[in-house]
Amino acid sequence: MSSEPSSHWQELSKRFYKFHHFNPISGEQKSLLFEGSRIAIARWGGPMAAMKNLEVINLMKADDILKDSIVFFSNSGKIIQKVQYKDFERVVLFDFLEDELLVVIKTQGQYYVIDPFKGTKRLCDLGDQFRSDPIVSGQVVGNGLVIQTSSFEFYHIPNAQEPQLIKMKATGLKQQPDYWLAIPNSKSSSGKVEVQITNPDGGIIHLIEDEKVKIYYNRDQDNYVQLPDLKNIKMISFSPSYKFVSYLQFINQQWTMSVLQDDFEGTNFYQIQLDLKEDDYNYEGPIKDKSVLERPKKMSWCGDDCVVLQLSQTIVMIGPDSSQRVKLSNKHFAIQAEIDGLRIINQKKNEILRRLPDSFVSVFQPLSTQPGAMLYAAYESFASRNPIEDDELRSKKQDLAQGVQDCISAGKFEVSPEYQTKLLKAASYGKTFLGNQAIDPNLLSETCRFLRVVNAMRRSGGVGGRVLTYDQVYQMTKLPQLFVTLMLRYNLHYLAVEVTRYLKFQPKYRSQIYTHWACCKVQTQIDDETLSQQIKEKIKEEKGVSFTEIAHRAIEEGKAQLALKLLENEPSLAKRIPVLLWMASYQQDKQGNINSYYEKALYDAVASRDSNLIYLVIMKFLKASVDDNYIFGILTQSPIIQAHLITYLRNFDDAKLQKYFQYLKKYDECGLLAVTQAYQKQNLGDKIKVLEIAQKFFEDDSKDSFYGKIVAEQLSSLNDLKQELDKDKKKNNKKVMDEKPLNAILESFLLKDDLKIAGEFAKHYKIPERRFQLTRVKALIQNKNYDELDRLVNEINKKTQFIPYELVADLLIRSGAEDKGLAMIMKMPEVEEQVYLFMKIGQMRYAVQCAINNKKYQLLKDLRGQVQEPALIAQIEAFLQQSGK
Amino acid sequence: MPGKKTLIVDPKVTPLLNLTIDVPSLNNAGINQILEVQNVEFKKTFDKETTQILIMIPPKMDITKRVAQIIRQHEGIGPQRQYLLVFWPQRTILCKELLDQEGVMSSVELRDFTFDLIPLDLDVLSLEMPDSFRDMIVDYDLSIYNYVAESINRLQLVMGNIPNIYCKGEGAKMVYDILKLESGEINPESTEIESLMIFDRSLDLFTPMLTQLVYEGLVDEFFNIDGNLLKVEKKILGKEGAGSDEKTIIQFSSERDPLIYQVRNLLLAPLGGYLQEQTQQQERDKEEFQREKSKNLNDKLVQHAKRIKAEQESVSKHINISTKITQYFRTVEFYKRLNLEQGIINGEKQEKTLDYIEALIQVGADLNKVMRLLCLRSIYDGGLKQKTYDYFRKEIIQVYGFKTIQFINNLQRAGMFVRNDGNKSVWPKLQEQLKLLDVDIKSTDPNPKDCAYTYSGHCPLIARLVELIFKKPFSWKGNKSMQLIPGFQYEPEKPVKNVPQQDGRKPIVIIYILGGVTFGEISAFRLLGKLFQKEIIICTTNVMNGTKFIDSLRERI
Repeated sequence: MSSEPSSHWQELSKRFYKFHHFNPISGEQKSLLFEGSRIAIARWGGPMAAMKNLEVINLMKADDILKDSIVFFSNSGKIIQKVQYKDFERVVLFDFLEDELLVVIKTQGQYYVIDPFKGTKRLCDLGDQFRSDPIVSGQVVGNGLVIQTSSFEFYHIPNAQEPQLIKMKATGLKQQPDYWLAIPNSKSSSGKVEVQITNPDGGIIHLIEDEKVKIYYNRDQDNYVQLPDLKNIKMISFSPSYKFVSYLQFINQQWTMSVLQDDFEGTNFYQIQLDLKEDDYNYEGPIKDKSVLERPKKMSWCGDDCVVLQLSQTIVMIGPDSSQRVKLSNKHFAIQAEIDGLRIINQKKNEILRRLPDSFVSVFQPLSTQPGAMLYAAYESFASRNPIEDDELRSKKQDLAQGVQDCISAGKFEVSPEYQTKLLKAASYGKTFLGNQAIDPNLLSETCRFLRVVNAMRRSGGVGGRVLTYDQVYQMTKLPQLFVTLMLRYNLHYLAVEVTRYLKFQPKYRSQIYTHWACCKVQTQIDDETLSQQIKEKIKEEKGVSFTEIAHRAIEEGKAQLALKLLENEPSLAKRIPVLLWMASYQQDKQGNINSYYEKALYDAVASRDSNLIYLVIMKFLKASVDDNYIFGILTQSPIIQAHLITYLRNFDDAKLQKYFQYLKKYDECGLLAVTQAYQKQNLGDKIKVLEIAQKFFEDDSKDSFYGKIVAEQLSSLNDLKQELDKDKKKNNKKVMDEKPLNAILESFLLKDDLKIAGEFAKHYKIPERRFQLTRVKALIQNKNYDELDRLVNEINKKTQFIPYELVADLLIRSGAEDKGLAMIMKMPEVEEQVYLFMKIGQMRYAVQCAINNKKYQLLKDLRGQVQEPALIAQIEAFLQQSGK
Repeated sequence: MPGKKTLIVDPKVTPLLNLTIDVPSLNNAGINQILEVQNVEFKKTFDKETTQILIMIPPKMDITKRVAQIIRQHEGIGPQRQYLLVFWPQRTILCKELLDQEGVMSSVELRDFTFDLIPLDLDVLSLEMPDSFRDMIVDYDLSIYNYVAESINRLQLVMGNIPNIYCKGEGAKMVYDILKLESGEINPESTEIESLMIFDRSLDLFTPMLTQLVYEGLVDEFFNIDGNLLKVEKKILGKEGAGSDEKTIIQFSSERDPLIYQVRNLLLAPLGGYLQEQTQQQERDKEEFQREKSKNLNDKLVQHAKRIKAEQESVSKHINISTKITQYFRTVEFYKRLNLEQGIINGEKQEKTLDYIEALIQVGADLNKVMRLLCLRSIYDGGLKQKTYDYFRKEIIQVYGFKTIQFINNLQRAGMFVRNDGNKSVWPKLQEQLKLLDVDIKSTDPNPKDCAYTYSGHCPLIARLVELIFKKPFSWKGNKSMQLIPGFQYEPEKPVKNVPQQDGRKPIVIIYILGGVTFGEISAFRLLGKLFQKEIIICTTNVMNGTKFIDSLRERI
């Protein structure tokens, strides 16, 4: 039975607070001794974890639930997971990360990350340095950690899942500070993780990661003169919004609480003196120091305007101008700040202390005459079929709107479904008498949409119902990733999908949930075929689901075939191939058959038309396997792969390439490769050797007999060259001969007019007659031996035109002997062509002359149209006239 | 980053930098020295104050290897330096592997940078990868297809998805496959671009071998246009005197020089006429200006004067360049070259052409140019007879050196210089069926109506294929001649018709040529745009001409 909304209010500084009861504790938690245990409570209404407090000696019964273990409790006090824990090393931090994994840090730098649902325990190590400089204390910031060592160094570990350290700026501390507190980067003004440390000499040391360190004193400074002196601080706590910070100080044997704005710049603050003496304290004991004896267990906030101190049996609530001591029904309890209140868990109850919003107060304050209260009363009597007169309320639209507004707000706040329903129905009842103008028409439906999520979470949000409030859910909509993660932590896939739909999260979260679902599904004991069908069926409509991730998981589960089946659904080849390769290497470690993965990867790579992917697969494949013939067999299946293999080998492994060409029986390619290799050799002897190998290939079984012949010829020429060089060497002649094209050698003989040697050379290398003569022509032109040239050309072309005159002409003109060139053109047998060529090269005078000499009347007539020079025109005219044409 | 920087680039990157960035900006970035990878000396260390070495290279193995050697050599000498290795357009796994094996992976920071499609003119975009054809055909590297697909995807990201895609050729298929693989991106359908046509160079290796006869093509053939930058000696531009041998850079883009828009597609004869006309017009403008000036000198008039001056400079520039080209025209070599080309396209006997080509080889004429003719012959005939083939190969190797064996092999692989296996050549058939030969082309026609004008009677095959699409009703599938052209073929079942733009703009058609396009072909596409009322944008891996094309296939030993 839920408690009456009007009961159990606590008043503090004219504000009202109330303990709202979530779930009755029915499980093992009833017998948990909070006193001798370390307790951690996950935020956002999550589970509670407990372990034996190793620093307190207490008698443990044999059946103690915390014996050798860390125990996770649901919100109804039942054990959800028990994880074995037998270490005796001091634990410096026992707390939940933001994404609800528990971290347990030990002094020597090792820590565990424990999953409350699966019970998996992962050991991380921060390194050897903490063996000599042990960790003294630690704190969770987001999903990371901040730790402090015995030498007063601070380190930041941004992600507790990966033990990577960032050393923070040195603080200059000489002794252990009383207290320090880290601020997550999402809340700090610098955007980095910050730490506030109480300075033993007074003031606060402000540490910004590895950036800077600064000390704030607030004393003797004009600016801060009105702010409290920051000294002897024993505890620090930030309000949930991080706008305010509270310092618990012990000054002159007196406890004082100072609340400031967190940036040391605001001027608003309040300070209140406190009496923290408790009834059962033994002041006769060995410890006399009041600051130790009376030091609260924990300082926390309840919302943004109330600080709460946890004493051994009571809590002290501190407002701006007063404090209030509340004795709790059971002395075993733990507290955890939430953004809108303070969770208090004890052996019997799971509660939240929150400030009552004004709307709630106006509805439920006894004897309230506020519109909210009036509307609520009117609805109650209406619902009990005993309507009271509410005409007055209905007639004042403004009041009625206020009443509806208040009932909705109060409904959001109330955690008991019974009163929640009543309040919303009252609002709905009032709304029927209002037009759309008076109130946002969507307000009620929006509220209900959110409340459905809140109630669904409380009903079935894992951990025996996640105890969230409306405000918390509203805040979480701004942190969708965290929200989804928390649900997936407990495999609440259906709920997660529904929540993302209700709260209109981006579609990527939906695919994340489906991927996670499938990864879970993979672990179930169903045969591969059915499983892959089931997964495919479920996911086929979903975009952005990562099949590669699911396949990864399948491999880890030892289900290689399933992984392959799943991968077929991955649309992105670029994603698929690395997984296949990874699968292959994973299987290789386990001596499995890997080749099918490579074949598949190759197939995909070719389909992707991406050279990089093809090379990647080829490289991995070559490195993985030793049997060349097998690899070659696979890699020869497609011309594309073949080409890539060749390119790869050409650049990285010539020897294997040679082997591959032989495998392909492409002996011409083998030979050509050897030719390339030969020409990379600097030394002539080496070059000849490799070229001989090439020749062998060409001889073996060549499809193109030409290669064999031409290489043989080249070899013969190189051998001649080598002989000559060797001879020269003996003569100590330093003239070095380079390898030259055969024709260049011939030309050099001809240039020296060494016809005999040239002739022998030409015979030896079967140089065709025409080339021999043309080379001679070239040499003669170069030597400007025009008479001989004339004689030679006439002789060669005596019967037919063996060498083209125009070519010789071209060579002559280029060498600068234009006249000789033009004369050569005149020798062309075809007059028409001759005239035409003269015309085209702009030699009109020659063209005309030539036409006249040969009596080509038609050509002359054509020329007359083209010629511009008057003298030439006259000449043509004269000739034509003379000839009577 | 503070400190002095040295930039080391591959020669292939230099033109890209020239096209995209100017020297002052580089200086502002602290770069005080630019070296080419091939020229960095191993022994010599960089100057002491240089603390950062930026290296920009394409992901080629030989170049990467050299860079690794440079870094290794310089490490440990002089001060500690940072090495930033930028791969254009992106690193490959092989380069990474190589750096790893060379042991320099830990010393360099790797980056990727792509220039993407560089606008060479208002209607020409190029990736400027001169080796694209070699990479695809000789080295069988698929990266080009990815770069092309990425560039198309980036276009679609900006302009929306292109409704109609046409592909022809195996390379086009590769790109098409990648586009399909990555079609996950949901872009709105483009309203401006009507179609994308992807062709690959292998479809038509014939056209580039011919001499282009439009002005822009001729300039490229004789002076070599790098991207859109033209380096010419000052004396050619009529600047005599000291330093006239020095070269100056002209940007050959209608965006810079509006006159180019008018002249780039003209044949030489109409070009002369046009330029003469312009000169006269300017004289008249000038006279009028003088008259006006005496009356009233105002700002408008001053602007006008400036414009006249700029125009005049431009006209005289082009007159000078075209005069120089005319001089080249008037050589025996050029006459013979055109003569032989015409012989081949007009079906002259193989022996006659081969006879002269043989003689050219035997006197050791420029091998790239000789091979242009020989390949033209070989492609037209579907190869040479075994005996002739062997004879030519031997002649080439004996004259130009043994290493050319690789060059010949590359050409063989590309199908440009091959042995005839007894199959009948398809070219004469194609020529006939697709009317690639137009004998009515007049070199003096200022207003040609057929794309064949760009190659004096020969129509670039790809232009004809585009024309087929533009002609209604279109279907490649239904066209028999299409079966003669090997390679993948794709066309939309029912092409989506774009609604004409309200502002009267013509529908955009993108023609993407893999493996390089010539200016002659570009001119042909422009003519098609004019004839069929389309806004044609030409995209390509590189702009080239036959000589550059052949050169990219040369032996690299």
